[in-house]
Amino acid sequence: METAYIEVRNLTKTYSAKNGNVEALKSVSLSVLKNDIFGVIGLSGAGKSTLVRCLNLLERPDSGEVFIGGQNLLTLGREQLRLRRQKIGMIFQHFNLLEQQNVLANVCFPMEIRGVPVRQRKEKAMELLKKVGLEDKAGAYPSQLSGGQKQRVAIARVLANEPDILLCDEATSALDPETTKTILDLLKSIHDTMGITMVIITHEMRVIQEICTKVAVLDQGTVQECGSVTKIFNHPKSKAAKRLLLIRDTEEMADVG
Amino acid sequence: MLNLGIDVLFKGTNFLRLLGGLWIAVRISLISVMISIIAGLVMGMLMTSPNVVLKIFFRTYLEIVRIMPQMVLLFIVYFGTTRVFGWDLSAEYAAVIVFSFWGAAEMGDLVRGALISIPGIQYESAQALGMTRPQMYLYVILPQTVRRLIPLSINLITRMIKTTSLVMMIGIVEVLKVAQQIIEANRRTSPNAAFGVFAVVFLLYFLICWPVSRLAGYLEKRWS
Repeated sequence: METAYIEVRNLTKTYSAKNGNVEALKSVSLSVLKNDIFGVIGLSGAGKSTLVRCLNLLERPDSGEVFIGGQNLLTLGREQLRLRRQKIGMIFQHFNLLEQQNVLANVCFPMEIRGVPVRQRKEKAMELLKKVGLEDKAGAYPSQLSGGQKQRVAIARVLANEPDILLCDEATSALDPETTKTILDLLKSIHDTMGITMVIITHEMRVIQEICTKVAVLDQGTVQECGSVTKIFNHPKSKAAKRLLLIRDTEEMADVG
Repeated sequence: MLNLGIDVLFKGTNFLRLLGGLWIAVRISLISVMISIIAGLVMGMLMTSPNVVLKIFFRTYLEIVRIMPQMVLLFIVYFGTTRVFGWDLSAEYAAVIVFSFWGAAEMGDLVRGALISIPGIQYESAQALGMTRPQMYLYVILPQTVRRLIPLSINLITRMIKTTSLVMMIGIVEVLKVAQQIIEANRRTSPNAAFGVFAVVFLLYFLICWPVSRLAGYLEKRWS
């Protein structure tokens, strides 16, 4: 059997809120193989954002283990963790670009942080902008770009660190279906050419359908179902999976109608 | 022609004295503003700490500053401390202490507000890029904080400049006091001087504060 590249075991995370504790994750275990495009789907509040944040320890789980490439992240010191994080790229729903810097500077930024010499980082940044199809926008500012273009910049920026893992936290949720499709195509081609293992967090079945190879259905902090996309789409067992499929079907009908 | 009594300013060195008074007011506010900004930045960061003791301490401090009229603070620091602790503070030191005490509290509150208005996702994406803590603050958090802070702190600075007129109550001869002296000295020969001289004082304050608020407007426009 292949060994997992990302493996979490018995992750538990509880938040204390004003009206009692919220159990965001209840003993979640998952394994993602190298080169997988692994989807995690669930409705809002299912715990998926918490789960993805545990993969690079933006959130520390209350208990459980997080292994990346066989290395237990929870045992790393602050500096080691920081260096490991540079190789775990993450993109977000609202892109989080530096608004005062142009596109080129945004892509150069992670390399600047790493101390890459100016010429080298500019060269690399242009190369990455070409890859995401924005080489003509190098001098533009984020405010002059569309949502899809901003996400492309964010993707180019994340690739500047040459990650071996890419975490996408609702990366297409702020985009229209058309743009979503082009961003997903871009992610797919990045996956195919660069061999990056991806974890895609979403609440939309069509995102999973479009690019994922495997999927975990998360509901109320637990994994309800996990397996290949075709299997779960054709024979959903859990209530949560059935509900998500129903939502997709209603939306598709609305699109057609 | 209407006699505004401005002519008294051209007698002897009157106008120079007035400018000298203005310099004293500006000097007090400049030093206090600088101390307030530095202390306020530190305090604002401490105010966002979850530590309860710190929270209560700063809350109390801020409330005291807000409730106390600046004049009362000036009296306590200048007259009160001499009696009780035997401190021989110069009036100008006392003024700088009071204005910094006030400015630091208000500035701290502004910094606190600006810091908590930065969404958590900004910290997260900085960390996800593998930035060190200082890098995160330097490149991501502070630039956004400063941008939110500038219009508010400019407002505070102009208020501080204007409020320095109170320091004449502890015997500092600043611009307003000089104006009074000039008016008093010429009461017989030009009784209308009260209008003209104070009008000039108004103009002087305006010349100091206006560029400052223009700067704020400019920065706000540039960053929007």
